[in-house]
Amino acid sequence: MGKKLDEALAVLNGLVGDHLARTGNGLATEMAFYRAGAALKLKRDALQRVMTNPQARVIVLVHGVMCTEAIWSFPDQPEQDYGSLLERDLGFTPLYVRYNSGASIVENGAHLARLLEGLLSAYPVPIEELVLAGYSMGGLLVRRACRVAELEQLSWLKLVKRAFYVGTPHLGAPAERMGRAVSALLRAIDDPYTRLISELSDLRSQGIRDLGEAHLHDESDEARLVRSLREPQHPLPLLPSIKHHLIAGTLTAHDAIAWLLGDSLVPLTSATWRTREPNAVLPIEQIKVLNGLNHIVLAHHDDVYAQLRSWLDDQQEIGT
Amino acid sequence: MKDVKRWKGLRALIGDAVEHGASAIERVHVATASRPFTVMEQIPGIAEPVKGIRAVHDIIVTNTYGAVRLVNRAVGQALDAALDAVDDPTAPDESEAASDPDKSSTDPA
Repeated sequence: MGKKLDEALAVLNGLVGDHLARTGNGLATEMAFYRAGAALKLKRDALQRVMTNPQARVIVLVHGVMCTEAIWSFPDQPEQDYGSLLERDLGFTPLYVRYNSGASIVENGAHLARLLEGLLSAYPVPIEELVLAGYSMGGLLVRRACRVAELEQLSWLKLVKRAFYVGTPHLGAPAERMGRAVSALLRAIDDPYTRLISELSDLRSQGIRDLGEAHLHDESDEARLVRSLREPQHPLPLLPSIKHHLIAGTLTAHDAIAWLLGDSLVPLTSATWRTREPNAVLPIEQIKVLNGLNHIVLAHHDDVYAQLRSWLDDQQEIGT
Repeated sequence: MKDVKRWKGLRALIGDAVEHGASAIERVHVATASRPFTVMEQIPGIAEPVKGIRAVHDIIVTNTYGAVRLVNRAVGQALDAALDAVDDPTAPDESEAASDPDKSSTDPA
């Protein structure tokens, strides 16, 4: 019941979470690290009691829109996920973030940045490396959090050497843009019923709206005139101090269809940051396209884990 | 306390949905009804009576939907009072404590 309720609340938060937060509604999820379905208190003694064997290398996993950290669990083995497997195989301590995915990515990213700063002082042992892994919207939160940490000179940023983005719409999600266009079309029709439908569709949260063009920066950013990630002068490039890795899924191995549909929600161009173009932002060895995996499956699949482990197992990458 | 907080949240969300839903349907109602009124108001001979009927109609519609919103708020306040009565303010709120490092710490459930 608890897990189902959490998942129902996650969907609700994804849909109208900005409204819930704005009105102080008790159904709004507050961002926190979660373990075994319970929020962790960022106090050293509390973490010491919960974590039996905290390691100096920590991986933080950030879920996507309308879900909880349960999305990482393998369906046939719910106790297993990328975090637990990396703990077993490479000695990372996994920490799972849960948040209100209906709030704006800008807000959530800033909150994540401060949560990570709090982790540094509360973690039972000194952290030597902090690995960030974001799935779908979670990847955008990771990027925004890094940006906030850079602007505010937060101390955790220097511990981040590697970041992983799984099915993250770096260049936005066309499904949201399409929904926005349909809503505008319905609103333009001089009919009260179509306008009502348009109003209903406009109830979707700010977080979902942000996904349309991967809106990651707020008005206080110096490059606020550049509104869209798709513009080449985007103010939020991947931080050069971090080695970034992208994993994208495709519904089929067929080249044209894969490129067109991507993982069904995120096109390949968005998940891989236009790597087929001459001005690719990342070297090809830091990008993995997995054929036959849809967007949901990307969060819990053996092939994705194998790739994550392969990248993380490469000791040469640490400190690069 | 966390459960009560959620119940209050659910109550508030339903209240918001009724409030905004009633307003949205009211707008559709008024807009839909205005079409035949507008046409009939162009017909000589019945224009003036139609204007009167329209004014009465609009007042009834406004009052009806206003009553829905009023009852909704009253029920919401009553439910909030009932939830406050069953709420134990001394019980720990895990979500609040988790987000505030300064609050007293206990193991997660």
